Amino acid sequence: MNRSLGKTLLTGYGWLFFLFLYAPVALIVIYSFNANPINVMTWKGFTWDWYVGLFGGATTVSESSLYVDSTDQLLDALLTSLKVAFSATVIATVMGTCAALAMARYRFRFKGFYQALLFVPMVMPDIVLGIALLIFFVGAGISLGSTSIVIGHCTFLTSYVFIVVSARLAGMNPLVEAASADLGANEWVTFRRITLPLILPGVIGGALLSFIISMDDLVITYFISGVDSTTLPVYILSMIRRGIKPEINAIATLMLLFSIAIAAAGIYFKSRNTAQ
Amino acid sequence: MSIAFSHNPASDYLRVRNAVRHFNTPEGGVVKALDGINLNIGQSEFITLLGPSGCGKTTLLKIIAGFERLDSGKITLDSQTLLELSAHRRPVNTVFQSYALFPHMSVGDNVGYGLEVAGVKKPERVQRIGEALEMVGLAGIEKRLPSQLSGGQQQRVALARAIVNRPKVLLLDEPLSALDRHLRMKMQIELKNLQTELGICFLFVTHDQEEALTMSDRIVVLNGGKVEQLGTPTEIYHRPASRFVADFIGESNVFEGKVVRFDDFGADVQCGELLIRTEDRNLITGSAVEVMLRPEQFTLLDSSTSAAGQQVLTATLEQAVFVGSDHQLVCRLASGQQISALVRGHCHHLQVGQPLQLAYSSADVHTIPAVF
Ligand SMILES: Nc1ncnc2c1ncn2[C@@H]1O[C@H](COP(=O)(O)OP(=O)(O)OP(=O)(O)O)[C@@H](O)[C@H]1O
Ligand SMILES: [Mg+2]
Repeated sequence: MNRSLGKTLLTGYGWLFFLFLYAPVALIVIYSFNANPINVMTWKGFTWDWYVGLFGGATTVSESSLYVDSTDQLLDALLTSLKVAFSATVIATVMGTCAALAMARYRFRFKGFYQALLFVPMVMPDIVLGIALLIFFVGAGISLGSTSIVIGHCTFLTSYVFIVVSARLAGMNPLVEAASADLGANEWVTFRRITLPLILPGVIGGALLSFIISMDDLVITYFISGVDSTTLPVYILSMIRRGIKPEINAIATLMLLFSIAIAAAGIYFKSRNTAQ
Repeated sequence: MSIAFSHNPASDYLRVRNAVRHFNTPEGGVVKALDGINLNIGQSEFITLLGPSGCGKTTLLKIIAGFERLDSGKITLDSQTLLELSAHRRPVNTVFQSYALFPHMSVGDNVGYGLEVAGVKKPERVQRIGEALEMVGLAGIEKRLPSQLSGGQQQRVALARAIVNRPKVLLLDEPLSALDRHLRMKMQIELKNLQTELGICFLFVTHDQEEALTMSDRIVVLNGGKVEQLGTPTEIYHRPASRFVADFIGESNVFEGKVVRFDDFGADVQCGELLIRTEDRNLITGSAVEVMLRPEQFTLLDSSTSAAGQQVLTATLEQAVFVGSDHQLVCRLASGQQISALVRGHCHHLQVGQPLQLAYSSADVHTIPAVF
């Protein structure tokens, strides 16, 4: 095989690879503007209707072809999702950061074992975790609702924060903490002035990751959400059960935009720090 | 070792008594990082800790700074027991080998950190930061980040950050090892000047013996967690207390032998076929000793120079290396032992394999009690 042929093939493979990754996503975005209300995948012209309809605006399509029963429900689900994601992120970020600090800075018995325990929720099948949490909440008499979802999300989000912050701590020169103590700072001052600022990009990165994962989680949330506490992914699932309609594409596109915004924020914080 | 306690009255500002620190290794063994260290150090001395890698230098500094605990022993500074104080309460500051500057703070904030933590008000802080930076020759770079400085500049900032707090003792762990040779020599002089100016005690770690000899008031030679010798550079160089020190500091020719005769002026030591005369008057017949001669203590005799009042060795030249103004000669004695001599001037006429007459003065011959 000659060199240029190999190169052409490789380039072709590269294109195919990205096509494979992004074509479905691109289709969703494109068809969220499709004016065909019956057959979602047949292009019939451009429209903003599905976006307008999502927010309860007047549209040119007939009522019956819209199937967000009420915009209120959709917004409710979105609000629940945001609330849950925010609370779970705050709690998981604090707990995960503390765990990472303990693992990186102190020596104690069974450390390796505890470390493994912190990884387990990430690799545990969602369905197992979901059922386990459900049984736990029922057994413990905790009623299913926003609180149970927050607790459930914290169990695995803590692992993600732990890993991101641990990586950051591993790249940090532990001598700067010694230097701080040497210059007369006690442990609290050292944490506030030296350790926290240095691991902050990791903490923020872990928090953003947690937020996205929490917003996005379906399987675990499905088990532990109550009747009046439906999150957005669970709500979308219930919509799809009644057939795929164009609005799904619009919702998916909005969620995509939201995720990209958060990821961009994450990259921004990361690059801002490496610039130092 | 008696010389380790050589006392001068001002030298009990920093006292280390029987410091012991053993580490258990994962392999199940025990490393004696410190194995009964005793030191008496004066208030404004420049002390160098010198020794091979792993001899416990860093461990000793960490214990004084408070980052490492002691198994047993005692450390007092200015009549105050140090060991009960946690690191942030000790009146000592450290210049770390890797500098350990705070990467997210400007140079000014780095230098002012200790003052700020101690509650020094801003106007005074700014002034003292400026003074400290000026002392290390970096006035006016307060706004920069550590990553915007060269290695040598970072090293100076680390130094300024430590001295600005006016510690009673400044600990320096191989602060110059990352610098190139030229900058290192410059910094050696500056450090020494700075120490004289500040008048505080510097405890300086290095494994570069030249650095130790040029900078120190006194040198502590450590080996395997023990003090081999504590003395001035001249003492260490010319009167090493042990074979280890003789070998570790500079180049030396050591001969093992036995005292065969002594009188009021010195002794004769029989080293194999060689009879070496020394002016050491503390030797008694029959005792085993090692005698030492530095390469530069030999002079090369030729037909025109006489050996009046000098002792002479005959050796065969094996190699002559030109080292700047001197020649480094490697010769072999009839006994087979190799000796090295450093002679001044040009020696172009010398040829490998030719016999040489090497003269030395019996006053230069240093004896070390042999240890079995
Ligand atoms: N935390 C530790 N656990 C186990 N062994 C240790 C520990 N710290 C130091 N040691 C051992 O103690 C000995 C002395 O170490 P130390 O760091 O004081 O050496 P050093 O004289 O500073 O050497 P170098 O010149 O290489 O820096 C070494 O053998 C080292 O392996
Ligand atoms: Mg060391």
